[in-house]
Amino acid sequence: MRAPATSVRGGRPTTITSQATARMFVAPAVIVAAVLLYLPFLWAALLSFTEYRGLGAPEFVGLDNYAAMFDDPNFTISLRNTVIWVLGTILVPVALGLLIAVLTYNHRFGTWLRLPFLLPYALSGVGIGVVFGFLLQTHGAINQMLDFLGLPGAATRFMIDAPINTFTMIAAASWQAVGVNALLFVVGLQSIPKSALEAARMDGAGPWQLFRHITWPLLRPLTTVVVGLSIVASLKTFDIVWTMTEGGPGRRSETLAVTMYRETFSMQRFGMGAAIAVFLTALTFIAAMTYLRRQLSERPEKVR
Amino acid sequence: MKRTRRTIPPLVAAAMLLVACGGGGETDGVVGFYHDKAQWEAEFAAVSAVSQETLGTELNVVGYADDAAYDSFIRSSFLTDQRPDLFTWHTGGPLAELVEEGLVAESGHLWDAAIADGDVPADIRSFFEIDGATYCVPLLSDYWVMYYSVPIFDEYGFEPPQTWDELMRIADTLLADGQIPFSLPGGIFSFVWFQQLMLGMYPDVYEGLADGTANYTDPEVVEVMELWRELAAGGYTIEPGVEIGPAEMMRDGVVAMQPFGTWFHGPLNGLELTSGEDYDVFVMPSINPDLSETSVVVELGPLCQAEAARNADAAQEVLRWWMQPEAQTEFTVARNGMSYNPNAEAADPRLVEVSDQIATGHRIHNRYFEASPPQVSTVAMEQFDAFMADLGDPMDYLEQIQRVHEQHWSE
Amino acid sequence: MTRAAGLVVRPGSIAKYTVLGVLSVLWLIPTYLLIINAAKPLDEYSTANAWVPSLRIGLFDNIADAWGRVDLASGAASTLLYATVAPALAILVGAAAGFAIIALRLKYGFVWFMVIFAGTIVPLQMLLAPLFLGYAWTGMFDTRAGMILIHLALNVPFATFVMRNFFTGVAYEMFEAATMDGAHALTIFFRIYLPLAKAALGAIFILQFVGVWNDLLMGLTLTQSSGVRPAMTALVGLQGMYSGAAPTAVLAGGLIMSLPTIVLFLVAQRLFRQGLSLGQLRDTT
Repeated sequence: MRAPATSVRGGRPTTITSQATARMFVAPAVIVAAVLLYLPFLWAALLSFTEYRGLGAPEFVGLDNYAAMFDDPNFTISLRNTVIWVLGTILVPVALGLLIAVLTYNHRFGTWLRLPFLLPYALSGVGIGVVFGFLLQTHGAINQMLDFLGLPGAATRFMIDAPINTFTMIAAASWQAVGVNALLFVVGLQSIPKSALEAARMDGAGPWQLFRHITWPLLRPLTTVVVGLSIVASLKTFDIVWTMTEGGPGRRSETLAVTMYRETFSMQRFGMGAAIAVFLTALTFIAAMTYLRRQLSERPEKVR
Repeated sequence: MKRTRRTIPPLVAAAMLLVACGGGGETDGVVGFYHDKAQWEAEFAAVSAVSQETLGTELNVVGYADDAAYDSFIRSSFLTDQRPDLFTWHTGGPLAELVEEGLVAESGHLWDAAIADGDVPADIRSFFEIDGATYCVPLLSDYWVMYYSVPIFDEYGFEPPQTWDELMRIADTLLADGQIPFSLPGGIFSFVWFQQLMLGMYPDVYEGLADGTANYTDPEVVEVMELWRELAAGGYTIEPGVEIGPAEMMRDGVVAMQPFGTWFHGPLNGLELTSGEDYDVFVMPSINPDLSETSVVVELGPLCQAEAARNADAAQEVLRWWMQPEAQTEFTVARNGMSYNPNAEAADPRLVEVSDQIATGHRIHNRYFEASPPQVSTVAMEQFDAFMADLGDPMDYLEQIQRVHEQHWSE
Repeated sequence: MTRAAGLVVRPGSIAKYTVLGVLSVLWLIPTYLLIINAAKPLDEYSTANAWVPSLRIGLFDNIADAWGRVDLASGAASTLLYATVAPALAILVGAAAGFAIIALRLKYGFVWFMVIFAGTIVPLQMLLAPLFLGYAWTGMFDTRAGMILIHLALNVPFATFVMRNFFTGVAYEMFEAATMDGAHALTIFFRIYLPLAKAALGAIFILQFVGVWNDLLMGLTLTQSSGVRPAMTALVGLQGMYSGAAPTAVLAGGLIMSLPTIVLFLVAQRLFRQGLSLGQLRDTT
């Protein structure tokens, strides 16, 4: 694999002045991220080597928090749930989003056909939590529906039984995320030249072949964005778990971000919370780097 | 294309204008009053209006809706000049932690005066004492009682039970008729049945768990957990994971009885239910008939003054006033609850009767959540929550709690 | 209007509409439940008959109830300010960074890109405690400027990510040609690259608007007075076991706070298309 920095550089020699200008253009973003994101994170990272309960002075304990973290069975469960979240989030909302985009783009009423999927994203979490309570509670609407249709699973306690509760929450998260993914894919699909599709259709390509050989490869820049963001976001899953189960029953549906929040703010173990945060950040960084290096560093031959 | 450039400066100018008017810090003569009971924003505002009239002191009431965010705000605020004058907190371990750091002002003389005036029952003072000194004043107090549905009790001709056997006879009758007798609070309330059953059987062990002299693996604790498992497995309590609001469960008769603090009046009245007509309360009888006194839990929220409060004198006056009948009546009526001050009025006379009843022949305990060290209670609540989900062997869960319990008390 | 392929009846059409129809119904269920229950008069609200709409409309009473319990009006004004200004600035900053990396060919561009983008991988919850301290020490705590600044910072990595990706798709010859004409980088950025990216800019803005609009954690941590605190933070106070607020008020409050984002999405869908058809990326045959 070629180094990304050189691969981006074209044939045109870069001059000193343009580099100075380039640095000025990139500076605001770097400064904002450094001061408001990295500096606080550094503070947290340093805390991970201490014992601190939010009062008095932190006490240096070396790697104790990390050792305790890897020993904790709750951490293992949390890590497992997080991996389920990543896989589930790439599979369900991304695939469904693509499906809906392909089915509705270029349709006269595409905007309206996509509306049911976009509404959930725009709805605020307050209220939606209550509604999901109706649906997913023990003996709730979903159970009744399954029972009525004679389908299996009518006795499932969707919010209680692990790991089913994690699958349930992935479904709820997908409900919210699909529309945006569909919208992003539509933007991508619309940038695909009609001429390419027409030409292939002339050659007698069916809908599946069109998709497989023309649409899918040309969608790649967008798929990269959608999948890349899904990986990062799903590794940090917090809000939906915190509102729906608070990680319970017990701590069985916690994700790493929930474990970190609980350790820090419910149990006031700042050092332990920080250690999990450092681990989660490293994990996310490695996942994102691996994925993006593969996807972004190879400059597509032709984008148009 | 030019439009892009022209629209930016007005946008920035408008933004800067809006940004300029932000919130300010504390001004002199205004006492900062921080609380984590955001649902009572209107109720606190009503009290503030009266304090301004009586004391000439305005309360700058700031409410937080999220416990974790509030706790960490208060803790961190002592490192900054955002520290509060007055703030609500928890008794027990969390208060001890702040006191240890010298962050809370003593309030002993305020208590002396209030007890002398008959505004505060002397027996709750101990919950506010740490190493012989008294801190904070009670913001409110609520007894934990059994709420029951009056229509359901009327239908079967039940009277509020005086003994555990009577209570179980009621439950058996309901169960045989397909009516779920009890609720099963989960999450942050997963300790409720543990607390109620422990106090009904072994109140001394309950206290022992709180001060480290008893163990979670003791046979008494195991026996209590077994009883809990029996009740839940036998269908006496509703299944875990039912997300119907507790007040709604009462209105729709989903369950007949719910153990809760007397603050439950608020949500019930929010659903337009009437005390005495739609719901009523009784003190849960002891399970062990040999106990001379019935144990009752009191939930006490302290209102504390920061040691380094900027408006220390005004803040102290507010604390003194808070325990007096005027403030207590105002707050109690506004939130439709009960008051620890017998001279205060309550919106519901039933609550006055209940507190009078509890005042004699009952033993008062701190709520489990406050009574236990936070490190232990957090783990315990997780384990109780998991126990309810799968009703497994109690020992598995108790051993987990015992581990942190031992660790905490050995330090 | 291009030829609408969807109107031609082909064998796949039936399958296509069946799939869309089933998915749409499934997707609308929670929204349906939210609306009918937010609109119920309190005495008819019950989990047991959540599916059945009421013939009497209680929506406005419920909204008034929520409105009376928390100061939603001033909260909504703050929320609107944060949700418009912070994403707008973030997009500008992010686009500038993407422009520097792709068009101006910044040395070690990918490294700089990763430095900015890695800001998005930091778990937000971990920043809360240090941000509070930093804000309190610098006088930024409980100020509108502070809220805009943190939302700006949180949104810049995503904006940079998308804009960098977008600018890779812009033909480099365009930049070269403009440079040959003697145009300054600033001019090229504002007059050529930004207008080209309208659709992408619009998409990021809308996503980030919704994100800031629904933010809870930053509002909880960095604000407290009613003039600065966003509406969502205030609304959350109505939920919970202790709350005396009726569930219908919570539902109605949640619904009314969703209206602006729903309207934005409706408008946005058209914006996406317009932006694209004006841009250079569409091949019109």
